[in-house]
Amino acid sequence: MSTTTTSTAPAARGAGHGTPGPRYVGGLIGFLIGYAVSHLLLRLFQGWGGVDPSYTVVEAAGIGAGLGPIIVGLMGGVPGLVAGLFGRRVILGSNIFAAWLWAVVGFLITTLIVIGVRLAFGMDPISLLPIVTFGSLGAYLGMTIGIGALGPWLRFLAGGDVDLAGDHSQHGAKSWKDYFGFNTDHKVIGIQYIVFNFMAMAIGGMYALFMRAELAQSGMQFMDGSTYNGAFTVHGSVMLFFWIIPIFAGIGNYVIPLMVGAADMAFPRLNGLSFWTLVAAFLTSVAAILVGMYEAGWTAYAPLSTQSEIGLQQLLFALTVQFVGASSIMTAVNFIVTIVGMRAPGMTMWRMPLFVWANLTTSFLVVLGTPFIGGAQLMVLTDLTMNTQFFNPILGGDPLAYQHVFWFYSHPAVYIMMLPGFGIVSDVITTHARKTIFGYKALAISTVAIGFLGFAVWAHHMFTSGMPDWFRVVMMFLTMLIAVPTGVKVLSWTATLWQGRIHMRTPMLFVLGFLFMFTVGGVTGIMLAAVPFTIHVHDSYFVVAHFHYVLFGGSTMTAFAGIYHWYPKITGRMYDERLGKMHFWGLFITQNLVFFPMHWTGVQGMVRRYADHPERFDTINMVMSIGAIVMAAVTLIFFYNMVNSWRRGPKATGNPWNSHTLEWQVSSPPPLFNFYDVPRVLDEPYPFGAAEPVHGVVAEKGKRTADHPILAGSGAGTSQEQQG
Amino acid sequence: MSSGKKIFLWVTYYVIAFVVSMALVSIPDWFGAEGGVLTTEGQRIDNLFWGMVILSVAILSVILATMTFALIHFRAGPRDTGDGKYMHGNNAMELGWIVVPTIIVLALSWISYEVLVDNDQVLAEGAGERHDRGGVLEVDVIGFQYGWEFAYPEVGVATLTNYVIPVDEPVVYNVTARKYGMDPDGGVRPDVIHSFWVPASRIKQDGVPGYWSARSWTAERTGTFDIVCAELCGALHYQMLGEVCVVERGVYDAWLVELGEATTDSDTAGSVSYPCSPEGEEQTLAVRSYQNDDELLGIFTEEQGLLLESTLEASMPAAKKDTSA
Repeated sequence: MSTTTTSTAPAARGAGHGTPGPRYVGGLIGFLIGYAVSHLLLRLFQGWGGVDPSYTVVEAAGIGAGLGPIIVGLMGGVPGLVAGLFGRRVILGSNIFAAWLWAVVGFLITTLIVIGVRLAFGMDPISLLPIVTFGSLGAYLGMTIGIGALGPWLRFLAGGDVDLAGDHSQHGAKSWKDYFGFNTDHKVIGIQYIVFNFMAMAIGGMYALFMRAELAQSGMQFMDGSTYNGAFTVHGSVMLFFWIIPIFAGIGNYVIPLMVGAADMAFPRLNGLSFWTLVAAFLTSVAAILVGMYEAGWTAYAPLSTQSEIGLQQLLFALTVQFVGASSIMTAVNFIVTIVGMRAPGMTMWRMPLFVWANLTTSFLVVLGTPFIGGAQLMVLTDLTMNTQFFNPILGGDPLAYQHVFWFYSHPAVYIMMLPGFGIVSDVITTHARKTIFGYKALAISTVAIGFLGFAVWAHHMFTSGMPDWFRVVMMFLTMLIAVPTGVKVLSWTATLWQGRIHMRTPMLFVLGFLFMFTVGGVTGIMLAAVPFTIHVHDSYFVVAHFHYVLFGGSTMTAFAGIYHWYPKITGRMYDERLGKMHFWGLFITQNLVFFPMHWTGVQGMVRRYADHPERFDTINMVMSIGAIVMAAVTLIFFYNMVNSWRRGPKATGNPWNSHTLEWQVSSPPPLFNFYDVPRVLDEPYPFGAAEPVHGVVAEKGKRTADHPILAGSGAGTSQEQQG
Repeated sequence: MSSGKKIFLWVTYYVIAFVVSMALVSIPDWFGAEGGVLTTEGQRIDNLFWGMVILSVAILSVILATMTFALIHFRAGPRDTGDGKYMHGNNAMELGWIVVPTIIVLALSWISYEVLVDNDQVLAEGAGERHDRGGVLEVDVIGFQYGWEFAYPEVGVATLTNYVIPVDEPVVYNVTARKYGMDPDGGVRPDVIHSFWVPASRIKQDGVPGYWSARSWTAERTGTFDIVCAELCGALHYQMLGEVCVVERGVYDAWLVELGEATTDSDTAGSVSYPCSPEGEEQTLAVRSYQNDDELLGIFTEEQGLLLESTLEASMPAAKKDTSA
């Protein structure tokens, strides 16, 4: 329960226990007001934005006209109902209903300000794009206040007596309801991230199914060109922005502080804010879908993205990117400070688990790279709203400039999507093969090397854009060189299996599947680095095959490996091994069935992002579509396994895999502040097979770390500490 | 197990992995679409591709063989709680798998570079400027929402959707996109990036508004081949289709004369016969006058707008018409 709630609790309790009659009337009034306001907002979007209502996603999905406005109305009506029923407890409390209400209020206030300013300067008072731009910022501010993220900060700013560092009032979850509110506990935030990301993955996957349904046969089945463009754009951006990138932030959030022996992240309140910023980004994205899908591709190349026809949706997409970027940067800064500054005594850089190395490198990439996609999309935003002409070729703007700025982030971004997965692979493979990781330092250094090289190869996404030849050749050589550190990693993991004692548990299966899928994706990556070949297959299905092998076969498989690996730690229960194996084999077979033929269709001339294809691709596309449906069904097994095991699975011990890193030395799930005393790290992270296999020691409940039998009397701890 | 036996087993697994993977990737007919590769340049790209496939399978087989070996010989028993061998790595091996891949990728980069140079020979030998390439046939390719224009600067006329070139002769394509486009309400807005791709030629080039980029290729046989747009350009991106018609030199010469006489007025559309019409059907191509001038790309008259509306569908190959519904 938050501090904000605490201060208003007496009054709120009074409101909550009112007599039933007036409460229901209040609820009804609240519902009607909420419903009406949402409707007005929707009309404002659709009417003033000149957006054809038939573009809305609800109709695109064939559910029927008229349902979209009702859904939007309910989005306002339901919180209104709750606010009416529970009064001040909801309106002033820190919960998602308050967040939603204050978001609407924030939007309305900013809208009035914009209209007022425009009137004051003698402009046409109502202009949709500025209203949406500033309104979204107002809504974001309202939402973060409503959820309770800013409370103590605002009181601190106002000169209040607030102990920001020692404030743990919003820490830890006592019931399931706490997962729907603001929290400062990295474990709660980690779970919030992971659950949220899986929801996003399901939505993104649904759009993939829409696409596969359309592509199953040649000719147009049930979509028009715009709808199809919208489907792959939503699929791409949801999967990247709300699944691949944040799932690793989620797993990292849960695991990293435990791995480095810290009580929490460095900035717990910022951590919570970055999660809720991601939620705000998602809602902005959903708003774009409701007013007509953004359909310029997740890359949103200008000048397509700055064309007025798709202005409002694209504006909301640009705002989504700003929020996602802000969220990523906040999380990354938090990881960097946590990893650099809060490691337990004795944990030198060379004693950090490789997942920590991977996250550190990734976080630097995020901090250095994300401003560039923010910048590219900010230029799109000002082109749309402020009449700047960055990318307008008629008035001297340069369409290629967008691509350079965009890919300067988005190439490092593919490592943001992959490096944490590499870290998970290292941790999982060494644990389940029961063998020290092969070439620890090589793995750590190659991670950093990939990070550096990642910034020097962006233009390989633009080999056909008409850049000078010398530049393409330089980019080709540098891109090919990335294969070297990546090869070092793959070979080191494979060598780790050698002379191990391999346990074929589900996380290990996913890692082995990853090794195969990622190697295939890696070698096609080398092929794509070769300029002459890319000139042929650029923007064909060969590229689609390549990046699904690395993003699905690579990143997503490692995310699943990580989820299974740390599932006992996070939930305190064991998952169902049989269902896990079914999930793996189903996913492994279907993804090869769906993605491998794409290499072939691409080389044969099937174009990416075409809603249609020549008849000669009919059979193979039908096979891929059937594969995609089976893949979706297999994913349902995973969801069932996760939910069911959490409720009924056998209890997990603190260290079911017999691992050595710190997160396994505490109970499952860990205590509120992770450790009862600051742990002490004595040796390498993966001492499997060593004479005295100890990575670090942690205190039992009510005891001190120094009392641990390994430390007591030996004095080992103090000498080791100096190395840290 | 002796190390000799280990090596023997590993090599066996490697050979099996290589043969099986090679057999699997050989199943699809990689090059057969539209009767196989059309151009000299494309043949080099196909060769490079096949070389890289073999290299890739060789690399993948290392991982597969090692994984297979480990999974067969280093599996833990069901109640096995022991650990594997305690070892941290092997410096010689690690150095090896840094040096060898570096050599491989550098060599591959070099080979790719050579192919690139060979494929751009015509461009390198020409004087380098648009419309001044030492007599090589040039076609200006202009993408717009949603279609293609192919301009023949020699005669100052452009065709719509389909175009005609002679066989066995290098052709330079100067690719761009219109700067001005028309929004659905008839207003002017910027056009967008398109990408000119004839899959059978294995060559593509983006058309960026405001930029001219050149590519060249030599068709080696006659026939018709698909043109597609490879850069997302809006709602009707998937309908940006066309056809290249490769004919004998004599046919081309006659056609070019007809093209030159088809129209002289930049505001009116004309038409010209299409040498690759299906048997028993006389198709025509819509044409307009094309002044050899960058600025003209920006002019978008109402007549040309009409030209697009009325003739885009008519000049589209019959098989693709029904997709526009």
